[in-house]
Amino acid sequence: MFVLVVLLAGIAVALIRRRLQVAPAAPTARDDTPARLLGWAAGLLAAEQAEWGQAMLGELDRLDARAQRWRFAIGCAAAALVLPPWGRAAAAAGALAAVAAGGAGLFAYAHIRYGLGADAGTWVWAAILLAFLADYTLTASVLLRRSGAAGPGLAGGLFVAVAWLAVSGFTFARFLAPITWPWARPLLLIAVPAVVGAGGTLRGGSAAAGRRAARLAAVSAGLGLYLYGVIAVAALGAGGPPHDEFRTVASAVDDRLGNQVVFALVLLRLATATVGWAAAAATARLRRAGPAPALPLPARGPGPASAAARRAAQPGSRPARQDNLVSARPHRSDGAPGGIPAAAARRRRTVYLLLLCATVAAAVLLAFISWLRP
Amino acid sequence: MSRVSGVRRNRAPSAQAISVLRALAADPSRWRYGYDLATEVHMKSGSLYPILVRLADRGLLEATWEPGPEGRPPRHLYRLSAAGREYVAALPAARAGRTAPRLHLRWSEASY
Repeated sequence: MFVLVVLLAGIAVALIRRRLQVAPAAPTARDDTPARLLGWAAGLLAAEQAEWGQAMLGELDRLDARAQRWRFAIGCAAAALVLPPWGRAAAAAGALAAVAAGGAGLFAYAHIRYGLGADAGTWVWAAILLAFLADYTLTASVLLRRSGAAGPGLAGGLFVAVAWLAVSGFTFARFLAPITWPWARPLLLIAVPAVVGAGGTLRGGSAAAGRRAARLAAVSAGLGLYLYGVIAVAALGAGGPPHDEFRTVASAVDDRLGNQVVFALVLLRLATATVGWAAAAATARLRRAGPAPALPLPARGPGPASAAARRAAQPGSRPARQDNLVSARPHRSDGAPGGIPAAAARRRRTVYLLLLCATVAAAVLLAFISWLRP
Repeated sequence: MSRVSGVRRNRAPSAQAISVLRALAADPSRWRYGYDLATEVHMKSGSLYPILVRLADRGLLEATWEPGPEGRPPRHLYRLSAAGREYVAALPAARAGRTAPRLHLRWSEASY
C-alpha cells in the first residue's frame, strides 16, 4: 500500500512538472486535438523521416475547417504509423504481441482446466485483462518506433525480468510464493528500475531517451513476467507454496491468476516506469551539471535534412529537437515567438505549483496513514 | 531548394503514384503543396504522403521548404526532379494499356 501510494504520487508529480514545463500555445499556433494527434504520430517516424512529419504538420496548420483538419490529421497519423522503416521494431513488437496473446491464451486454459466457472464476473475480468494486454501491445509498438528506445528498453526489460526471476530462484513455486528476503523489494522495485532509467539516459544521451527506455522496460518485463506467472499457475495449480487448506483448488488458482495481473501488469509496470522515469530525470540533471555537450554538426548534402539544418542555423530560427519528437505544442525552451503575456504565465505557473505542493502533501499524508495502520 | 535522393527500391509505381506524378508533370516548374496535390488527385493524406516519401526516395521528386509566417510552421513544397520529368515522359509508352488508374485507395501504398 505504501509503495503504491508513493508510486501514484510520483506519477502525479511527474505529470504536473511536465505541464509546468509546457508553455501555452502561442496565439498564432494551432493547438487543437488534430494537431496534437498528428504531433504525436509524427514523433513515431524514424529519424530520417522526421521531416515528413514536419511537412504534415505544416500542411495541417494551414487548414481551417475542423472536419478538414480531422480528416487530414487522421490520414497522416495512419500514414506515419505504417511508414517504414519498421524492420527490427516490427519483429520486437510482434514478439511482444505474441507474448501477450500467449498470456491471454494460458489464462483461458487455466480457467478451463481448473474449472473456474464463467459467471458475469469472469467475463468482466477477462475484458479487463484483454484491455491491459492490448494497452501493453500498443504501448510497446509505439515505444519501439521511437528513435533509440528499442535497444535500451528491451535490454532493461530483460534485466528487470531476470532480476525478479533470480530472486525467485528461477522456480515456479518460489515465484508464486511471497518474497521473504528483506532486501528484495527495495532492490526490485527501486534499485533495478533506477538502473534501467539511468542506463537509458546515459545510452540515449537525454532524459527523454531514459524515460522511454524505462517505459519500454516496464512494458516488456511486465508482459514477460505475466506470461511466466500464468505458466507457473497453469503448471502448479494449487500446488507449490502452501495455501489456505480450507480453500478449494479452483479458488486458489483463481486467486493466483488475479495476483499475476495485479503484480505483473499493474504494480511492476508502475514501479519500473515511475522509478525509471525519476532516475532518468536525475541522471540527465547530473549530466547537465558536467561539461556541455558539443553542438551537433549541420547536415550536409542536398537532402531535406540539410535544408532543415540550414534553416535551424539561421538567426532567430527555432532550435531543432534532437530526440526526434515532433510536437505541435511549443515548449518554453523553444523560444517560440508570440507567447502569452507574462502575468498570465505567472498565474498559470502558480496554479500548477500549488497543485504540485498539494499532491506531495496528500501523498505524504496517505503514506503516513498507511504506515500507521497495522 | 533541396533534392530528395537516395534510391532504395525500384518497384514500379502504383497507379496512384502515377497520378501524382502526372499531376506534378502538368506544370513541372511549379512548386506544389501537399494538401493541394491531394485535393487535385482526389487522394487522402494517408495515401498521398507515403507516395511522396517513396517518390522522393527514388529521386523523382524535389522538395523545398517555404518559411511560414511568424510563429507558424514552414510548408513543404514538391515538384518533379529532372529524373522525375524523364520518368513521366517515358510513362505513356511504358505503362500504356498496362495499368488503369484505380479508384480505390490502397493501404499497400504505405508499405513500401
